[in-house]
Amino acid sequence: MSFSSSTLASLPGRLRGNSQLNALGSFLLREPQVVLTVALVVLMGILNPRFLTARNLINVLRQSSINGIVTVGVCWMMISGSFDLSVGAIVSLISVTMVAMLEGGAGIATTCIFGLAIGLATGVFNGFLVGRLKANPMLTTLGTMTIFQGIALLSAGGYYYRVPRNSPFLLIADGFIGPFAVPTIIFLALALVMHLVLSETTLGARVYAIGGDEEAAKLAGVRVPLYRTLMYIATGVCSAVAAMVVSARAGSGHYFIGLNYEFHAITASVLGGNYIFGGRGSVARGVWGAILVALLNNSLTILGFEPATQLVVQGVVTASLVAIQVMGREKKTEPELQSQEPNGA
Amino acid sequence: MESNYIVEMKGISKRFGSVQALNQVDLELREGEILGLVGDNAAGKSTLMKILSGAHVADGGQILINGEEVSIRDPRDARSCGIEMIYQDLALCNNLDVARNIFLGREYTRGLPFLSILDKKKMYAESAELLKRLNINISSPRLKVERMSGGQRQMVAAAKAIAFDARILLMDEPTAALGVREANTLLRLIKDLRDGGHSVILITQRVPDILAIGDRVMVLKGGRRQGILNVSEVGLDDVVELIVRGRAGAESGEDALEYLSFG
Ligand SMILES: Nc1ncnc2c1ncn2[C@@H]1O[C@H](COP(=O)(O)OP(=O)(O)OP(=O)(O)O)[C@@H](O)[C@H]1O
Ligand SMILES: [Mg+2]
Repeated sequence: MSFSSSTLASLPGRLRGNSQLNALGSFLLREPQVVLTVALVVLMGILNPRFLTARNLINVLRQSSINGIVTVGVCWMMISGSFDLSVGAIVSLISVTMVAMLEGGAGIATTCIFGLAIGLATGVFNGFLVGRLKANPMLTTLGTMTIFQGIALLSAGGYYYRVPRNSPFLLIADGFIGPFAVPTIIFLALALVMHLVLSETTLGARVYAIGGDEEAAKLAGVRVPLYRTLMYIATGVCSAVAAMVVSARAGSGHYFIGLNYEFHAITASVLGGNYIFGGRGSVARGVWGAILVALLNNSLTILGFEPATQLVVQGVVTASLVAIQVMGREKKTEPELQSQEPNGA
Repeated sequence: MESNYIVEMKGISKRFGSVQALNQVDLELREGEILGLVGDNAAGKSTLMKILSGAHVADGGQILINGEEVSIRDPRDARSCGIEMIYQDLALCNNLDVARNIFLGREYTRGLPFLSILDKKKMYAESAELLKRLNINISSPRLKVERMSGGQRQMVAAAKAIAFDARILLMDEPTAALGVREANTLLRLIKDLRDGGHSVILITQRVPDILAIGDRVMVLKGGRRQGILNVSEVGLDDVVELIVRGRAGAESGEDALEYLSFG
């Protein structure tokens, strides 16, 4: 029994008897990405020879990149024990704004900086509400999602903007470096940086602490509102980067282009084995999860399912994993309450 | 003699909703002493210490450190005044390991000044050393706190408070979860800290502990200060009587002797 974190270890306690089986079960529950990846690769490898080709896998990596970029920010957020449901609306807002600027003749650098600035501003706004005013993160970002979505719709007027033809901006989606598409490289580079910041800096140390026990972190002198705000800035900026890639890819800016992105990112993060209650997990898991989501979608496409099936499958998988985590948490907290009683003299 | 107080709290009041947890409480801590803080459950002991550690902000009153008024609005302020506290509920992050708990909020860093890269090696090495020095029965600073026994967790909380050599140590029932042997080790450690020049406020339900290692003992009851006694001049029954009956001495019919049999 030397597992470091075993939120879910207690769950298959009912399976008692064979302790090795038990350990295996808890490992698989804690690391759902391993099970799913192995299952998918084996199943698809048998069903369709096209699946396991380098070409298809590189394609999967490319397909995962936009969601992956958003997921990286959402991982930080999740590890800090909070949520940002407004990422999809931020993507839409920034997409509309940036492409409108490009259509109006603005330079690419100016446009990208402006897009990043909006991502920053939305993060500061969300961070102020949740970090400083201590508003409920779910309800708050549900509210700001509507605000950002509304602003995107207002400024687009129900219309969409086009990236000027031959604009080098399009290279953000179409370019290649070696065999890898630019979006893939942006995704993996961003993920690497965000992974290292989380694992190697004081920011990371404090984010894990806040996710584990906000009150204890505060008592240890951690400026919780500051770090909460930084998490929202991270999701905002990641959304801005995702907006650049998706706008370049679509060649246009829509007010609904980021629809469901918050859901896809949360799916990826949870599928990668991150913990929805915070305090543990990593960016690397989110990367794995994002690739897994793309792999899942790719498999469904190859097998000839309708695109809408992807949503259903993702929903079912996510809901199941979240349910398992919630049950594991309840099991764990029960005995802890009992052992908290102070003993007398 | 009145001049060498390292901490003075004057007229501290705190209300939680309808509960007046503290009512015009004064406290004086001398430099290099162990001051016991005792009283029944809900007397306001933890609240008073949390005000000093920045976990709560008082509704009214003053705090002086070395005779100078300070404003302690959060735990960071308290830390910069040289105050560390072991909380009654420990305030550890269960998801983190021992070293990460000890160094939380003041991690060792290296490299670029604008990017604070953790010096993990140094933190783990120092934590291991600290565990050894304090005689704590935990095999590695890499163990997660959530897997630990109540006593081990309590010792981690103690190590966390002691690690940085704070001048003023507040300990809220630090021996509550400890076995006899561990409790005695910690009490000896507290005495050593005092002898090393630290000033300590020790909350405990075990009055004999205070009589064994303390210099003075202050009694709270119903959010009011009942008195401060010199340990060398009093016996267990004096303290217990003050705890049970208060300064007025006759407000309830409870028997102090009954309480004594608990200690
Ligand atoms: N955060 C809080 N919110 C509301 N009421 C509180 C809070 N903290 C303390 N109180 C109340 O203030 C009073 C004093 O509590 P406090 O914890 O200071 O007592 P204590 O002397 O430490 O008791 P114990 O020996 O049980 O630890 C109690 O009535 C308690 O219910
Ligand atoms: Mg208390």
